[in-house]
Amino acid sequence: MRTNFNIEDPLNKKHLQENPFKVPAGYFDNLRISISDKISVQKQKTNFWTVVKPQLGLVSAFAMIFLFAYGVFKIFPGQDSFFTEGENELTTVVSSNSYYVEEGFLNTTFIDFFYNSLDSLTTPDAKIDQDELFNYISENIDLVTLSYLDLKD
Amino acid sequence: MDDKDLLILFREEGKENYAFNLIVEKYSERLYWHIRKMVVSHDDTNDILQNSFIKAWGALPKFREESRLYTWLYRIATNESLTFLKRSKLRSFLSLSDYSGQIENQLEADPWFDGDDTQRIFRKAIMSLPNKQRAVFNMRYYDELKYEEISEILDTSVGALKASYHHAFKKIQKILKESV
Repeated sequence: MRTNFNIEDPLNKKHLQENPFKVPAGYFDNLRISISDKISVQKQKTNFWTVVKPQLGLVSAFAMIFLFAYGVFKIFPGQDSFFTEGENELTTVVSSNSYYVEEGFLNTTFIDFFYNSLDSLTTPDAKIDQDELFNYISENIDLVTLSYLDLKD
Repeated sequence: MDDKDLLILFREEGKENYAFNLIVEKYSERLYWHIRKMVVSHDDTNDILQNSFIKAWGALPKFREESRLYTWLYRIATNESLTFLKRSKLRSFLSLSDYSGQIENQLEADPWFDGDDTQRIFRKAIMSLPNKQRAVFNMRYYDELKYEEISEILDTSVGALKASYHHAFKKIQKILKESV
């Protein structure tokens, strides 16, 4: 064991500073060619991206605007959506009635009720039959009503 | 051709490839040895050096000459080496192997190492230093760079660099006193 070895001693330093590493023959010449080739590839990649990048930017900007607008309409629904909700409710009612119609619980629809051909009063060109009227009054009228009519006259 | 002329040539239209080839020719050897002292293996050095030059090629149009070209290239190469060493350390940590042992054995197994026993022990002692301390020691001891230059390359204060070199020097001195 040598205790007086100093790496800053000029003689030791000179020896230690010597390069003990070697490289394969012709390495530095090939290195320049290799770096040059890699840079050419890099340049081609750069050219491709310089063309594609702005177009990608435009597409993504449009997509962002569309998503933003979609998000705004979703979060803050306007009057249109109110009507849509109303329509939905109506659709639900109609569809639930349709269920009863289909099942045979109801034999008619709401509109048919007013335009039933058996109901002579609601038929557009309905005429009151005089005999039928007298029969109806004679069957249903009572004395109180008759006296009232008498007083009026 | 000096660095200023090389940069002027690089900025001329259609001459950038030619100018960059001149830069590679001028600095590749010096940067190679700087990286090799850090990572030891020739193959790793080759990869790091090529990556450093490709990065330099990409960043050179934005180079504003606030530092010298050589210092700037040195900085890229040092950062690439430190990143590589950090990744290697992480990889060996994940595979549960002994990183410092691996680094030291790399020197033994290196077919491109042609030094004597003293040089081998000295190199092993340097390899036992933490990565950044090793970079400081190499730049100061081998390349004899000024602390101001190292400060520019590593972005560290001169005081911190002096302390780092002092610690590295003491450690290496101790290992050599025990082994040589």
